[in-house]
Parts: sequence; structure tokens; C-alpha cells
Amino acid sequence: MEHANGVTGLLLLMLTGALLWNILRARKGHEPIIRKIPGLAAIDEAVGRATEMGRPILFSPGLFGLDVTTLQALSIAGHVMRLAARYNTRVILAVCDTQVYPVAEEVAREAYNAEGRPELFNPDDIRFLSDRQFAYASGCVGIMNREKVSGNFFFGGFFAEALILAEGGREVGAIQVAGTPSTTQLPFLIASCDYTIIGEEYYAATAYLTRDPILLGSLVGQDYAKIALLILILAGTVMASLGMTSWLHGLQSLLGMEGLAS
Amino acid sequence: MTALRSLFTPLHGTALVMAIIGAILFFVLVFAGLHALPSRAKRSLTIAATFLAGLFYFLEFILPNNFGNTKGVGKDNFLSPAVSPLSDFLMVVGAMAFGLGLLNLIQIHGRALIRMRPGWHNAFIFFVGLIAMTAVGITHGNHPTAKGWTNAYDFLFSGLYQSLASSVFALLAFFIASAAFRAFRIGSVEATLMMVTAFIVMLGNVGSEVLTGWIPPDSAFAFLRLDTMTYWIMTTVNMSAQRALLFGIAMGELAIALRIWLSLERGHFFDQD
Repeated sequence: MEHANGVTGLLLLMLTGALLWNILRARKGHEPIIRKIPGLAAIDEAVGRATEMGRPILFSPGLFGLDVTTLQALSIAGHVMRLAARYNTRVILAVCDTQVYPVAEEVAREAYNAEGRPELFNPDDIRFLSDRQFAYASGCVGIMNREKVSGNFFFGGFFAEALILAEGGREVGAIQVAGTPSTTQLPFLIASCDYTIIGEEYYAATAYLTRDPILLGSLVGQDYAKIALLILILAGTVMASLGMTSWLHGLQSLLGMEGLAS
Repeated sequence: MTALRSLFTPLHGTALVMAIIGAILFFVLVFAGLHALPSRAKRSLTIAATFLAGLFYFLEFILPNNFGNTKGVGKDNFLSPAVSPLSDFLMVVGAMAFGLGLLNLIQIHGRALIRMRPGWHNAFIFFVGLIAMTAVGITHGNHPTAKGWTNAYDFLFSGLYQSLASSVFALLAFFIASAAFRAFRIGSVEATLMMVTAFIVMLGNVGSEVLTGWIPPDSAFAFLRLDTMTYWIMTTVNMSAQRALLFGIAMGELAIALRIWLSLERGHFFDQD
């Protein structure tokens, strides 16, 4: 098994500390302001368009298993479904992992219940298509064509099928909003979708959509942690450039990382 | 720990049958008990289980090698031996979920077929594929040397499934071209920059030797070689942007993992009773 060395442990504790400190500050009433994220703001537009056209929406939570990325996607799916339930619009949630399926069904049921429209929940709209990458992509494109969807949401982890999904959606004229932490698929989604949420914006979604002070606090904590990392990178670059390697070696031996520089 | 490991030791014959029946009865009782609990208790139980599981993996990673390990020198701490049985447990739970996925497919396609909804023929093909692949797969697994079953399996898997998957994958070539065309024709400064960069990288990968191969690599003009420019774009510009994105993503993942661990996350699956 791999275990944290001194530096990793120290960094992890430092970053976790920054997050917890800001969450605690937010709990005490300090409410931070966050910038507008166009991709997340476009969710309302896509649901509104689907309502006007009287067509359903397709939501794909990606190909990853039941992990942090997919849980975040399902959280966004819940928000989309609440909005859709308000306007009596159908949302088809296409899942590719059997472990994600029962969680997705529960998220959908909760969303319709929360809006006071439990009768709109249709278990047939939560579909496990396939756990095979291209079979799943074919299934999604099939749904887009058969159901004539007016909006596509691609949130989660994607691989090569991302472009098949996005181009398939474009061909049926659907408004498309995507968000993924998979950096290799970002260029394809940016080229094919109307709005794309990139990088850490993806993990800021629940904070942005719920405006919960605790979650907003953790966003500020992330920024503090990134500033700390940036300072460390700059300090390391300057020290290495100025030949201050004895300092670095001293720090390494202090943290039990001898031999790393070589 | 030994008792935990023994749970994941393969059993055979009567012991296996008894273990399966015992496991089914145990989980029926557990699920019945959980179902009978009030919502608040269920929520508290979920929070406690999430916290304990997160604490285990956090401590296992953060505690140094040999911490509390009385068995001698190694790379493990005292929690490490439990990682493998827990991973097995997660795989068992995952395997159970597979049945739910299959049930969902059968329900949706079964209803479409019985009610002859539009597209019922797709549902019919689904059932033909499901039954054929299950029957041939199981029989081929039990009789791996039988030529007839091997041929049938190869026909269904390599001949049909893999060919269809490869065909869908091949569509990417056309989709990349259409997406790239749209991205480059936008007419903004960013689109122009992207087009020029893409042009250099493409030429650097396919036509570098023909177009700029005559420039000596050790001359003062070596930076004009397409392969040199491509290398610089990919390792300096592209890589630094990718790493900046990855830093943000890693911080986001750490934050959301912490929020889920401490049950601070809000959303439709985390804060509803």
C-alpha cells in the first residue's frame, strides 16, 4: 500500500485546514460572493426551452462509477429535475453503471417529491443502458433521436464517447450544457456544446446552485488552498533557480524525503 | 482481522451453498431492519457509516509505514491488511447492483414489447441478444473446449458486439472533423489562435521532416522547425494549462470529498429525509 510521506501529509492537513476554517467562518454568518458561472446559469435556459418546446431533456451522469465525480453529477441532475418538475417537463436520466442506477433513481424520486409532484416521477425515465462505453453512447444517441430531446446535459466523467454524445445531440438541435473534470475530453465538449463548465467549476456546482453558506465557504477555502500551493510552487522555483538547493535538501531531510531532488 | 479475511476465502460444495443461503437470510434481516427504521435514524446511520469509512481510508493513507505494525518491517501500517477485504466487500455490493441494472432493462423493454409501443422491435432484439449471449456465454464458460460453443461465442462477441462497438468508435473520426470545423470558423481572436496552433501541431506531427527538416536542429533557426514548435506548444503551453486545470480539479475533489465525509454536502441525495 502507498502511504503519505511527510510533505503529502503536511500539505493534506494544511489544505484540509484551509477548507474547514472557511466552512466554520461561513457557519458563523460570513457569506462570500461567488462569480457567475455561465454554464450553470444556462441550466434554467435549457429547462425553459424544453418546456416551451414540450420535449424531454436527456441527462447523462458520465461513465465513471459511484465516485465523487458522479455524485456531483447526480446532485446537478437533482437540481435539473426539480426545475423540470416545476414546469412539468420530462427528464430522462441515462446511467451506465449499475451501482449508480439505484442512487440515480433515488435522486430523481427525491427531486419530484421535493417539488410536490411525486406523480410526475416515472421509473422508466431512469434508464440503465449499458456498462459498455460505445453501447452506452449508441443508447444515448438513440434516445436523443427517438424522443427528440430539446436539451442535453452531460455532467460527469467521460472518455472517447463524449464527442459522440455531443455531436449526436447537436444533430437533433438540442441545447447542450456539459461539465467534466476529464481534461482530455474538454476540447471536444467545448467545440460541440453551447455551454461547458471546466475544471474546478464542476465541483463548485452544488455551492453555486444551492447558495448554501457552508458550501460557499468551502469554495473560498479552495481558493486559499490554491494560493498556498501557488506560493509553494513560486518559492520552490525561485529557490531552485537561485541554486539554494541546500535549503531544499534540509527541508527534505526534515520531512523524511531524502533523495527526492536527485 | 483473520476473521474478516476468512469471510473472503473461497468455499466449495455444501459449505458454499450454506454460505449463500446464510448470506441471503442475513441480508434480508438487515435490510428489513433498516427499512423499519425511521427516516431520522436512517440518516444518522448513513452519516455514521460514511464518516467511519472515510476515516478508515484517510488514516490508512496518512499513517506512516509500519505504524502499529507488529509483524515487522514492511510498507504497511496496522490498518493496511483490512484494505483488501474491504475492496472485496465493495465488489460484492457492486455485483449485487448489476442485477438491478438488468432488472431495469428487462422492465423497460418488457413493457415496450408487451404493449407494442413504437420501437418495440428494438426491445425484441434486446431480449434475443440478452438470452443468446447469456446462454452461449454460460455454456462456453462451462465447456471451454467445445468447438461449437466457442464458435458461437466468438460470433456473438467478436463478430457482432466488437464490430458494432468499433463502428461507433470509428464515427469519432467524422465527428472530430465536424467539431473542429465549427470551432475554427467562429472568427474570433481566440478561434484564430486555436486554428494556427492546431495547424502547427498537425503539421509538426505529420509533415515536419518534409517542410522544415532541412533546418539543422543545432542551428540558431532550429526554433522554426515544426517539430520543435510542436514540442514547445505541447510541453510548455498545453501542459502548463492542463496542470493549472488539474490543480483546480484536485482542490475541488478534496473539498467535495471532505464535505461528503463530514456530511456537509447539500444536494438532492445528501440533505433530504
